[in-house]
Amino acid sequence: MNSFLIEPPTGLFEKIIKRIHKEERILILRRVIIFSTTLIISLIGLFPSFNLLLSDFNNSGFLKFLSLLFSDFSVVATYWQSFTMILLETLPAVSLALFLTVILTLLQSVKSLTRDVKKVIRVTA
Amino acid sequence: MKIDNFLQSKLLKGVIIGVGIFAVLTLVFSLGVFVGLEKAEYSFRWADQYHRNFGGPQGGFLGDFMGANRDFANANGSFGQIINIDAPSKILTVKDVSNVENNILVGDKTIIIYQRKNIKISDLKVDENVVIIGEPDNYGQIQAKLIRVMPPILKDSLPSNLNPQ
Repeated sequence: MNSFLIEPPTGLFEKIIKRIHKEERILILRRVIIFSTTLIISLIGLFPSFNLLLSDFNNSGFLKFLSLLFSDFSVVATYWQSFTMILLETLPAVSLALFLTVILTLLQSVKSLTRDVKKVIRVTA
Repeated sequence: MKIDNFLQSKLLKGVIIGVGIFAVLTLVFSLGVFVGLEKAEYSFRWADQYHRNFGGPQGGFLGDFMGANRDFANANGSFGQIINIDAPSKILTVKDVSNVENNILVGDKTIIIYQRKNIKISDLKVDENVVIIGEPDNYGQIQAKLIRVMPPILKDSLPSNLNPQ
C-alpha cells in the first residue's frame, strides 16, 4: 500500500513558490507598463482637452450666461426655466465629457500605478 | 432565509446599481433630446423666417441655418454685439460669436440692465455687448426676458468675427 505513495522531489515547494513569485512580478510589471502608458497618454491629452473645453466654454457663451446668476440673481430666479434651458443649450457636453474622461483615466492610472509600484517595492525588498 | 440571502447578495446590489445607472442615462439622454429638439426647431424657424426677419437669404434658403460652426442656434438666449436697434418696433438685432444674427423682441416686461440700474431700449447703443435670456417664438425670434449689457470688452479678448474693425 505504501509503495503507491509518491514522494515529491526535494525543493518542489520552493520551486513552486519561486515560480508563483516570478509570475506575480511579471504580472505587476505588465500592469506598471500598462498604467504608465495610460498615465503618459492622459497627461499628454490633458492640456489639449482642457484648452478645447475652455475654448468651447468661451465660444458657447456658457460662462456669460452663468455670470448672470451672480449679477442678476433675482431676475434669473424669476425666469429660471429659460435660464436653465440656455445653460443646457450652451453646455459644451462633448468637450466636457472628453475632459472628464481624460481626468478619470489620469486619476485611475495614478491610483493603480501607485498600488503596483508599492507591490514592486514590497516584492523586491 | 433564502430571501435574506438574496436581499444581501451582490447580485441584487449589482441589479440596483445597474437600474440606477440606466435611469440616470435615460434621464440625461431624454434631456439631451429635449434640448436638441428645442434648438433644432428654433434654428429651422430662424432659417425659415430669415427672409421675413432680415430681408434676404443668408447663404441661400436653409443653406446655413446651423451657423458657421455647424451647430444649431441657441433658442433660449443669445449673446454678442448689437448690430441694429429698431426702437419703434422694439427689436434688437444681435450678432453672436457664430456670426448668426438673432432678432430680439423687447416686450414691456423685458428687463434691461446696465451695471446696477434698469435702462430702456432707447438707452441701448449699437456695438454694445449684451447677454440675453428669453423664449423662442414661432418666427425664429427670441422674446427677451432679460437683457444684460456687458461692460466693454478689450478688443484683443474678443473672437475675431466680433472685433469692431
